[in-house]
Amino acid sequence: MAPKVLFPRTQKINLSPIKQIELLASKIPDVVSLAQGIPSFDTPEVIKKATIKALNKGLVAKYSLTYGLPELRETIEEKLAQEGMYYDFENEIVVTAGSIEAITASLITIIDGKKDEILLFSPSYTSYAEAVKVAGGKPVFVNLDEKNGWSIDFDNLTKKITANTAGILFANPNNPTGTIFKKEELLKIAELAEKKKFYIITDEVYKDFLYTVDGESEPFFSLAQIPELRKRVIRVFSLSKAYAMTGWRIGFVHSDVEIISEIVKVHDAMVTCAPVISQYAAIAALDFAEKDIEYFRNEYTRRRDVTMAHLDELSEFFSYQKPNGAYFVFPKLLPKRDSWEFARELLEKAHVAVVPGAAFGPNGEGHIRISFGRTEKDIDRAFGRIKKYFKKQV
Amino acid sequence: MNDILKKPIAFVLKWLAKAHVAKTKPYIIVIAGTTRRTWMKEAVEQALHERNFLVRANKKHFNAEIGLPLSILDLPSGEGDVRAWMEILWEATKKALDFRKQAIDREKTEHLILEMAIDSPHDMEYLLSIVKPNMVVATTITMIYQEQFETLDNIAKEFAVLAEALPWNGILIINADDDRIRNLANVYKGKVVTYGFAEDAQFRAVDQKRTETGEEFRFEVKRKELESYRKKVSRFGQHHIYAELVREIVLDNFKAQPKEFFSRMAKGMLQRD
Repeated sequence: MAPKVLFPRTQKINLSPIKQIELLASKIPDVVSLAQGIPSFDTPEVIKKATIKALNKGLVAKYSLTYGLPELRETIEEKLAQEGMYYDFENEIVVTAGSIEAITASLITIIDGKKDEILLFSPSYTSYAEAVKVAGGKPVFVNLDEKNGWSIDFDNLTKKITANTAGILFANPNNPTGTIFKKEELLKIAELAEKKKFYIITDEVYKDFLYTVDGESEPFFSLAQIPELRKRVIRVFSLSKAYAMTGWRIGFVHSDVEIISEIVKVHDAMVTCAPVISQYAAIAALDFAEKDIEYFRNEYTRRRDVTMAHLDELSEFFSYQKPNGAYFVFPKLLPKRDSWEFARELLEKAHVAVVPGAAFGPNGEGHIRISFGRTEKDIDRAFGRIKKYFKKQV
Repeated sequence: MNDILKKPIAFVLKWLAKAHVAKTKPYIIVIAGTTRRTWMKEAVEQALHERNFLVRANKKHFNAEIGLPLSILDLPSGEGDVRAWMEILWEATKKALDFRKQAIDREKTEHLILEMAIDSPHDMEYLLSIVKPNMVVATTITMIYQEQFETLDNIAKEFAVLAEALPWNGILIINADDDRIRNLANVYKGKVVTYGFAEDAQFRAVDQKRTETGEEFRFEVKRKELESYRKKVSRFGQHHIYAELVREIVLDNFKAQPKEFFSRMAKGMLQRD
């Protein structure tokens, strides 16, 4: 008789492959990691000072309201309005413990009975599929079209929509491809969602890091800007990347009151409220750290160029689509090979950590994700080693 | 800013701001409440602009012991930079001691909208020692600062101190839907105007409906007869309805003054420098 499997439900959930790679990397001395999507910067001073002030005033020891501090939600409403999104701070914005909590709470809310399928682009962020499973849903992958700049393949998307589709979840700009989905593409998704009655969860954590393509940049478009779609769209944002606050675990979700009043129940059951100390930090970030974002953006632009210059030198081994958002590039391995095997080999032989493309869905196989969120020095060191590695191979 | 610098800077700024107010005598409108202040400030500012008054409002967060005097003096913050603070104090001194007629005239006609933020007991007394209001708009009392006050009633006591500071000919505008704010009517004997959804609110919203693009409601005001018509705000949330009601109150209380307007226009004083 086969031994009884403990916790069969969680057996299906995997630890993020990014964490797995980091775990392997931690055992190898002198590794340069371009794996995790962590900004190399420290949290801006203005945020730290405001947080210390709140801490010293004794404001952070108690729970906040489940929705979050009213002052923070007011600030969020103001910021959203500046970006053309109009949401009520009292009923339509919930402060969460980072974006993944917001996403998981949203998924738990929209997945119900037979409506349990969540469409995910492939490639897309590794934790999405696991969050869907945690919420009791089934991830359904829809391949992006690499040849057309990782754009959405609508034929494929339409085929994957069924009566069981509860929603679609995607990051814009996309992680790991750095693609910004075009307004027309997003509106097409909205049209499908409206027609087939499913929800759209849009994760916009990288929206502050957009790069000009051939000297031109378009204003960032979010479906949450369209009032007619507010009952269909759930928008998630985190301060982790924009304000170098990954460790603070702070973000927010907003949507129509009908949807948020349900999401907030899940949020309450999971975390009661977002960490109050981080909520005070978030107020300062949103009000005072605009200059810091500008500085980060300029730095990432430079690092992106450095990364692409290295990849161009390695054109025999990689081909890639130029990223115009986030801080990732997702090169294809030439000739095609197993991404896990390559990542492991690179780690062991060159002491460079990257994330295997397979971690981002089946269509990510044969690629690796490189983060240029790390310092220029790290990027140069890593690519120096990668070049040596390939030289030896040849 | 560190605490060693903060106290002397706050002290100097307080007295320079007091001197400036005493000299220029602006009409002071204070927005108070634990939330919703931003939208009320916008609404009051917009209404006064509609009436062609010269208006200035404090920047966000410029509402406590350092920020309030800076708002009065229309100066930026030096943040953590000692040299910047020296320059700001010098500018503040020059402003407070500028007795030229033109400078005083310009400020004299000004309506100054100030937020007063409190986060500890007796904060209001300190802020009122810098400037006293001619009009107060009180929004709501929520949990936001409860940590320092033990109870929401203690916050209400701070706002009562503010209402008491109004002159005999002042105006107290209060949210009729918040019982603690409503009770402020008991401490001020001058003109009190109420707004909200409550049946007895003088400027009232009823029959609120949410549309795809904002909030709709029927606006009612009791003048000689009951005036009533539908209004729409292209934002979501009741706080935008409250702000619209307050805008109506301000429009009602500050009538257009063509004579003053044309006199300012002749002097080239319609815009601030």
